[in-house]
Amino acid sequence: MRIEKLALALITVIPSVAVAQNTKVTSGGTAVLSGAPTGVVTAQSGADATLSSVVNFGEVGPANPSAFACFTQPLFLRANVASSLRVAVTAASFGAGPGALKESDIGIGLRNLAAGGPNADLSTTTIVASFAADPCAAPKNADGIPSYSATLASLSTAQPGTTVMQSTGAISPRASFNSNSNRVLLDLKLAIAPQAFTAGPFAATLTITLTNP
Amino acid sequence: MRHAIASWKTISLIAFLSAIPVLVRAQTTGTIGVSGSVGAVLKLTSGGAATLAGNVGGGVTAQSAADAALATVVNFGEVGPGNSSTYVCFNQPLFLRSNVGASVKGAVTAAAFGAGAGDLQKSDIGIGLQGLAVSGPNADISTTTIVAAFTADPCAAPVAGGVPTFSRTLNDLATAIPGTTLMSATGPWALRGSFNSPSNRVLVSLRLAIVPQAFTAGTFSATLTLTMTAP
Repeated sequence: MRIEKLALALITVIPSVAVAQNTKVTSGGTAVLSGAPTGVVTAQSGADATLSSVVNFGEVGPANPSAFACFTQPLFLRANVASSLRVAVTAASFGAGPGALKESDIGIGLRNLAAGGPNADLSTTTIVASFAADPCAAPKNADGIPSYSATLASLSTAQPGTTVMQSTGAISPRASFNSNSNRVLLDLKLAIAPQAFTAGPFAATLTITLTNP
Repeated sequence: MRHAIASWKTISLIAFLSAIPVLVRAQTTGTIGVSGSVGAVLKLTSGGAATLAGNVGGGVTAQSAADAALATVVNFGEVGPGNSSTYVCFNQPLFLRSNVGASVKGAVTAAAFGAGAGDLQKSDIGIGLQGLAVSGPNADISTTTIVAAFTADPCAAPVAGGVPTFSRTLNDLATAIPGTTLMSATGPWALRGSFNSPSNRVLVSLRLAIVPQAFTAGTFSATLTLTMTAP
């Protein structure tokens, strides 16, 4: 009789924990860098593995004749609850002079939002408007200076960071959290227009977090 | 009753186990490390049309367009008593760009001057830099200094008895490239923008002057090589 009560109690409790609120952001596959003759993606993770990429844009001064040095990082997103994709800039190291390359010289945008399969749902998903433009196609003025819709300077320096995309409903309504069918595909793009920046190095870390909500 | 209890246990166990995978915490963050660099680049080009004033029979015989490689040839023409001008004055606009501190240096090579006491010498050709300015909002001359002796306008040098006193002449320049420093900056001249942009170039005019005098008849020639170096 005591065992029967225990069994009933378990059945009562389990429904409240069985559908936990989960979010998942992982690498969406191969990161690509273009327009950067001396740059390279020095580290990256496989598709659906923990996102841990490292990109060196290389030379982005006048010696780089490209219109843009453009980095694309595919992402996979899954969430069985409403979620927000947030990005923070940490460990930033930029020159201090007026001609130094700044966070505001690195454009950022989200592109190619798509459902990975029939169990992914984008009906409640919105990319924050300023992050919806392609930084690698930003307009330039006569001096070769681009006008980005959003830059790294638009992002918070504290994690989880600034919301760049949000969904009011689940983007992965069913199936395993490792399934190809319920992931949302998204490209995060970074762009630098090579210019007469003051000579010197720069570095930063972008931390991407999928939170609820 | 025992059978019912066993069934409940089975159902409970299955329900509990099926819930376990959902309880595993998912991957919620990732990182992208970003880095890069900007190398030092220097650029000295023609700033446009060179001019020659006060000349008799002289002229600018070759020159390059604005922002093209500097390759000008000037013939001062007659600079003896047959020229009544106060000065024969040559003006070469220059465009300077750099994203680091830089110096502009001048050297005189391939010099051919007469050896006699009355011959026109390198010391008879005044030199100076004039009209230092920024071309736009992305140029900066706040750290720029023209070496004092080269700031005077040789085309306005004082003349006494028909003989000028130039602040500096070609004789003050080294004969080996890159030569003598004429001006320098401790910071960049171009702050951003394309290296072909009109907004980030520094403008300066190089001037050469000869005061026509009773030099010994003959010819002279020389090549002035301008080089921008860092720093």
